[in-house]
Amino acid sequence: MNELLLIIISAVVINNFVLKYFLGICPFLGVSKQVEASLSMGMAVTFVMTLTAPVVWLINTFILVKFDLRFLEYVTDIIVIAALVQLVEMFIRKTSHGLYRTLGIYLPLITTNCAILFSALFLVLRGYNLIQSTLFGFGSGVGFTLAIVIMAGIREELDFADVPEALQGAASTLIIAGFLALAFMGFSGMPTK
Amino acid sequence: MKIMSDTVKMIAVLTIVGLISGGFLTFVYEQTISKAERKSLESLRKAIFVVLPEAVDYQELKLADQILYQGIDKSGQKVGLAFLVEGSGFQGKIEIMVGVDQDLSRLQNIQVLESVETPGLGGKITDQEFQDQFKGIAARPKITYVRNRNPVTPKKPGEIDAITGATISSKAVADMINKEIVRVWEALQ
Amino acid sequence: MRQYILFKDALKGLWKENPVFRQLLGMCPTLAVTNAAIFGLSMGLATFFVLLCSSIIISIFRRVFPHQVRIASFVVIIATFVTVVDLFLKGNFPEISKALGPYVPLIVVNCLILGRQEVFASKNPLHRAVADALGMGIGFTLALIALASIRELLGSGTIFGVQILTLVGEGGRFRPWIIMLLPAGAFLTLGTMIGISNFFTGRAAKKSACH
Repeated sequence: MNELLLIIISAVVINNFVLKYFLGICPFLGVSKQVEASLSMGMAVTFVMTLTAPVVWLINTFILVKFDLRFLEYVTDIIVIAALVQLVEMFIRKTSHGLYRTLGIYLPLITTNCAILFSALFLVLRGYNLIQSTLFGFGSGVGFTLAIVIMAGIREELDFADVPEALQGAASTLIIAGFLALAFMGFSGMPTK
Repeated sequence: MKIMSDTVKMIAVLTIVGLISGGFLTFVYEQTISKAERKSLESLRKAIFVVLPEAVDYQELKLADQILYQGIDKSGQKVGLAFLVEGSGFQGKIEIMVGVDQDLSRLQNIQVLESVETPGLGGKITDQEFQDQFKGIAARPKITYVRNRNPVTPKKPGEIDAITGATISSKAVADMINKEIVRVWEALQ
Repeated sequence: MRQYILFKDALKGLWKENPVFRQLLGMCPTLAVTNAAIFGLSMGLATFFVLLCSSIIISIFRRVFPHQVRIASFVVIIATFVTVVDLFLKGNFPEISKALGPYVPLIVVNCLILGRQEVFASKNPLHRAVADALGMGIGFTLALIALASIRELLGSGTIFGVQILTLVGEGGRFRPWIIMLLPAGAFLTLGTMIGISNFFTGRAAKKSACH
């Protein structure tokens, strides 16, 4: 139990996907203007990541490792992610109008979000089991959401500040991300696995 | 009819792309894998001879759930055991090859094979200076570390200096070696 | 005239549409592997290779892919070449492969590559696609080397492992800025560099085209 909790904490704050591994930087720069949009994006990513992790784990364990096809990992991972995103989109469009309005426009963008592929690769690398993988996927998504929402909060305030023209947009966002990364470093050193 | 043939074409193209990709990768994989395996085996061999300086050859001993490398010198004498130690440091996984005397009483040498510790701080565990501290120190009762040693106090047996600013990484290295030595000792009984 | 177009196709990737500084593409590897110049160079070349090979294949067969499944086909082709690069690095340069770690497979989702296929290679003849891939690939590699050299110089006093600034411990006056080697340093350096490039071109870098 303790260990499972550690996996989540580690994925959310210690090894934060955005601030430690630089994953999902594109949406982090692009969508982080408003808190509300960031939250939706974060939820969409968390949703897909939590789903991808067990599926990738199953395929990896029962097909790729069993038949010694590990070198096809990248190709199968990306196909699984693309297919899942499609399915999720179709599913929520049919079932929940409200949810579709919140997450819908972000879903197609997620296929090429490197955070999701990375989490798929990482859970294999770490040798997690099915439950650990799912929790890791979930935690990583939450970590992404946390980072992008914090950034959006700062950028909303920044709208009232007088930022030099050359630093507007991506440049200032990256520099702020640098300070956030420094702050998050305070979490490292906690016992991780 | 038009829709039908479109669907067929879509499926056909995707299947062909998939098949060619799979076939091509199988070919490349067959070509490179033996080379990659040879390289990683080579680095393992090298590490074993670094941590067991007297050894010229080694044998693999398989215990319950670990592999020991039995070092052998020119005259066929057993000169110590080597094994891999894994644990987590400040930032992530650390992997070390450890060489000990036959009776596990003394460390011969260690080599850090893998570490993602903070460069410039914990990353110094891969420095020769830090690793050399482990040369020939007593492994029993256990390896301990001190911070900011007073230069006048002499080193106790089995003691190393922690890296300034990276106590956690230093502690992790000492702890994981201690733990593994106990495990090996128990397995050998 | 034909040569002129080719020249223009290739040249735009170097500065005017530089993938990193102007288009903000491929940010993950740009930030992640640039704490030493050699890793920046390796990642740049690996990406370059995948971009070039995929552009060639996709440009040749551009009329074959049905519209609805083109992206899926592109991604599979890209993933194939990424696996080739990954196996090559594992077999020949195990240390570099270990240091770049999971960022090599992430080339699959580098929006620079998919973006060029979608915008250029799938719509243009082979020679123009190759010129475009060369320009973008070299532009990306140079950007990575520049970023990595700055970080390595300030973070360890070296460039490509050659000592430039003498450290305090070795009789010099330079104390390494360890932060430059950490994630925070990557963000700060890239942010500053994009700011400087905006300052000189007088316009903001284009908002990222992909997410």
